[in-house]
Amino acid sequence: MDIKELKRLVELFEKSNISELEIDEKGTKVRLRKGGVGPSEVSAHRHITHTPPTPHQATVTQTKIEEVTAGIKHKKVIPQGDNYVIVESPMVGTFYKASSEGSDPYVKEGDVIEKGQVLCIVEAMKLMNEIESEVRGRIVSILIENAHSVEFGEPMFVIEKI
Amino acid sequence: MGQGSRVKGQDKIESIKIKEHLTAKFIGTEIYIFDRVESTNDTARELAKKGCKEGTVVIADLQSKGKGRLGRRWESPSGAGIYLSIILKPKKVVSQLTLVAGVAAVEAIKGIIPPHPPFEKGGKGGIFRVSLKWPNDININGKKAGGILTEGILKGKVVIVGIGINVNTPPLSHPLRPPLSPPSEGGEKGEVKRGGWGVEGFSDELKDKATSIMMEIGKRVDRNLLIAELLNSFEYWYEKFIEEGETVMKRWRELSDTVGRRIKVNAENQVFEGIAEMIDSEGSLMLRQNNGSLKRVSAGEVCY
Repeated sequence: MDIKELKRLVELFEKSNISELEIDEKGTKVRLRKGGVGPSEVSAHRHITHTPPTPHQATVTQTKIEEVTAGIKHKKVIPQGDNYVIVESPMVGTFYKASSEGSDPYVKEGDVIEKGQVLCIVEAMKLMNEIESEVRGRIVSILIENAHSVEFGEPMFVIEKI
Repeated sequence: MGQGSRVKGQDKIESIKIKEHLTAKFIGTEIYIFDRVESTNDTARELAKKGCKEGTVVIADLQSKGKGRLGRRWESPSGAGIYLSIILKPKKVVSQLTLVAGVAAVEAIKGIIPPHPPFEKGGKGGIFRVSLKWPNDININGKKAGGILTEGILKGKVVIVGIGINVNTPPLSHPLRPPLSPPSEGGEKGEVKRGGWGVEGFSDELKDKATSIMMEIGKRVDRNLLIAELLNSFEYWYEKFIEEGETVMKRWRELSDTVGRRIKVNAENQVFEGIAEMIDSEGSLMLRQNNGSLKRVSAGEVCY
């Protein structure tokens, strides 16, 4: 995506009723989000997405996930603080967001989830391990793409406690 | 159960007959047998949530929604196979449990069928070779005859090991082949092909890739005996795995025909090609790719 296309995209986005838009095209990720502090913010970096802080998150220290773990496929910003829970993979395996191909994902970003609710499956050698949430909260971000591999201890979800 | 599809004289799965051969200490102390369930793993999950004992076993004569990996269907016709789930409460969820179950299943089958059985008319003749294909297929003479699907639930406190084996699924030309059951007898409308045997033991999509023990040896196998052997074998290899995991992995490698082969692996939405170099101690497949690099695969579909 060149700068011209990006500019056009921003213009369209500003005029639209869409509050958040994420595009992943051939390794270039663009995330646009309205609201929060100031005007709509734009970020477009190869492989790296910076999520502008919302007012609630603004006071929280943010660390790029690439500093937390090497080899991650989809780098996003992980907010840190007592109010956030990072769900890590308990095993080496493959991450699945739904119980079967074609069915709805267990959770989506923005969903409010209950304690004990299943978030995803991590598969290793046909052991389908259901990962449950330890807390009630809201899914801030899903850090792994469907059907991608995860390492032991690799962050998969950011949950904001409610 | 699809009553219309049951063959006269066919063995019925019965707890008392299984227990005649059962020597396991804790696997199978409680056995639940159902004529028909959607999936034994799902039934086992419900039992586990209610707090059943470790080693409880759920067996069904027919699964109307037998599960394969990621919700894929596992054909589970009535009276023809073994579809069971074992409930475990391990200290830790370990991904090798699927492989442990694979070793147990192959050893159980080998225990009751010799490598050169006296083949009867209708069997294909020759050898009877049971092998494991990474990560969870049980193959007989190179065709799929069974599989394992393990699920970790309740924060890893419970693991459900689902094992499916095609035992007495008849070949197309076999005299025991039942007539096509009408939908009213096969269960819900439209389920007759998987509820009963359909026009033959398997649907068209599977017939060249799948087999059953009966299709290879030409005669029926006592399912109650095989279930008991499976439970005995599972307990032996599960306990062995807890004591010395590497012994089980070594046995898995011996029973598998995956290592050393040129394979294609469908994983992470891509296809990787190369030579299956080894299965590591975690059970992952190490693939030497065509470009020389080594890739570790922990989940995927293998073709060869």
